[in-house]
Amino acid sequence: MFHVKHSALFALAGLVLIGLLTGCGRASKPQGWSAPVDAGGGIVIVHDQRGSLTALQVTDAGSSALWTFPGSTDDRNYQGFYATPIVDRSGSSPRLLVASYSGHVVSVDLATGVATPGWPKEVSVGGHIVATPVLVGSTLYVANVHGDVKPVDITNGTVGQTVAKASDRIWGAPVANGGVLYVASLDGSVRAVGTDGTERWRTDAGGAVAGDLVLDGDTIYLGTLERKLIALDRATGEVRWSFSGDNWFWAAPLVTSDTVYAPTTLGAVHALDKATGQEKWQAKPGSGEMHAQPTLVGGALVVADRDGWVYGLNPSDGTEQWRQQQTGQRFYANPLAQQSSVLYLSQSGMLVRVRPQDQGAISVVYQRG
Amino acid sequence: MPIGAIFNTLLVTPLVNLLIALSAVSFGSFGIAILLLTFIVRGVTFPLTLRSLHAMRAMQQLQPRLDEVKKKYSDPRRRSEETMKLYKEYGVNPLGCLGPQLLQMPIFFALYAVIRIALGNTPENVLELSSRLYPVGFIQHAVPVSATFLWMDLGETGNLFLVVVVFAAMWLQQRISSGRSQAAPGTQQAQMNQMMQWMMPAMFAWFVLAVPAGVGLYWAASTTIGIVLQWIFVGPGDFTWGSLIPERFRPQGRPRPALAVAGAGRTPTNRPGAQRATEAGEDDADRGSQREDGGGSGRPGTGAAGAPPRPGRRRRNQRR
Repeated sequence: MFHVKHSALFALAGLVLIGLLTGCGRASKPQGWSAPVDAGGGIVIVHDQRGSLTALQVTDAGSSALWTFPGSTDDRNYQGFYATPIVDRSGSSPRLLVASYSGHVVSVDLATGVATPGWPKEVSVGGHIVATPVLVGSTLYVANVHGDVKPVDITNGTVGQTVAKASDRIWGAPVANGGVLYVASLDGSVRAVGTDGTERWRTDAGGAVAGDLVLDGDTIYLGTLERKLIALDRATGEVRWSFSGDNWFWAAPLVTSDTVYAPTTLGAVHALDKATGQEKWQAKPGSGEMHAQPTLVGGALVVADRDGWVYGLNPSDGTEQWRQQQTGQRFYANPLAQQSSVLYLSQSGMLVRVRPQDQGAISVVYQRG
Repeated sequence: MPIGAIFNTLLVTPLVNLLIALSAVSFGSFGIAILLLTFIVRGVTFPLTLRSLHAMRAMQQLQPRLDEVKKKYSDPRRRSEETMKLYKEYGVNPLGCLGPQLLQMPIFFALYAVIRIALGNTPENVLELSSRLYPVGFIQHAVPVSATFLWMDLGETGNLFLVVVVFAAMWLQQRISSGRSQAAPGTQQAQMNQMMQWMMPAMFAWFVLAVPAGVGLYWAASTTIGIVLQWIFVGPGDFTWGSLIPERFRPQGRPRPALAVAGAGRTPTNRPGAQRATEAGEDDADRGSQREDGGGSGRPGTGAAGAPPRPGRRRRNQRR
């Protein structure tokens, strides 16, 4: 009798377990955190978690949707967008070059939101794409999670041979200058590679590099998951300085004429001397993870975190000027700075406008339906 | 503090750090870290497992007596009283089997969360990891961990190899357990055993198909260890490897392996004659106790339904 009950109990427990765990499985789906893009003429491109892009005509009063890609009759699933779309105006009509988490690159007509004629429906680079590609001339260099950087000819969508290969995922956006690509990977390597595939130098960052690289003059700035912010000589790859923070540096640092501002995933913001890496000040306005790049708007250093908080800090000493919260939202995407305001796109697809000169007042510009 | 936060603070976060620390000492292999964790969990719960196995053995040996009580008393209340009396007499705790399983359940739940966090392929998963890691150098340095183990991606779902392994392991475990239960053919319990023999493995195989392969690896390793422990401390019961061969393919002239033969649990043998002799001996030895219980008729068929257990010290004392 007991054995029967025992077995039935386990069967029941198993069913509950399966239901709970397979239900929870949805939580690990990619969401994407591509930044809103200014496409000109008041048009802003935003992504949503369902793997689509929407063009918004943004005004002071709000916004109206112009088109959505893929359209309602298009059943393609792009799984989300981490890479920020690139506006290409080199052709007869402007277009968006979009790299999706599904590993596809698509050319979308900016005016209509449909695939550009003359291009393949989509081209595959053979692995998920997280890093924002870099456009050099008529070639888009796309990095995937297998550590490959592949060139895509934007005139016809042809995918070329791998020009750089890392041993782990590439999540941070590469940068390019003078025919050289600078690429970092979760394997901790940073390398300079010619567009023909020849390696110029390689450096070990001492920890995984997950965030975007920032190129400023002859220096490359990058953060590591080993809690370090590093400045590298662009020509040789030598470490100019290194700074240790309280946690991971994932967000791309903001580099100004004399200061590097870098938040950590524990919510601390560091201001460092650009030339020496000496810390000027440190602030910890909140405790939420910071992934969005800081921005300077209206005399304030604006930073946002996972808990929906947006902070305005004094750029010279880090003192808090204001703080505002959009409850229930997570701000991971890099912001889009405009003249007197900054647009943040939350993980749930809400686009908000923050006005630093109005104590950071937040207004909702768009909410996905 | 909400229960989710307690669960995270006390179980998920320490497990995340433990697994990443284990992967750091396992040449960066998260798969080896999961296997090490399985051994650790099994090691920590070993005293409970042992008690559970002993309770299982006692329950199985007691089953014929319970069947007798069930047959004899139609009044549910009286039946329940007699059943409890039997439990008391033989010193059996009917809930004794549940300890390790219940203890493993929260770990299992937590492991699912841990693997989702630590091996999540999406950047959001890794970002979430940042706030969970303890500020210990070698743990921080081990991130991000590699999701690849052998040819498997431990963060991906739908690993068919692990589905097969878990199904086979659970089938074997169920077979060993149910074969020992000495259920008389045609009884409700025998039917239930037969159903569970296939249902449980199928259910868990489906489950392993739906969760990340890392969770499946843990379950496969844990079940395999469970089988080994059961084999060592309880024995395989009437199970023989030959019984896995369909009857028509078995060599002619050899006796058929005993499949759920009542009373085979204590004397694993394929020799029917020897089995009958042993059962008869046990039947004789136990008649006295049946008379003591007031319910033993000493009918010849009792032994065929399975010999009741030789109780431990408690029963010997009663005899005195």
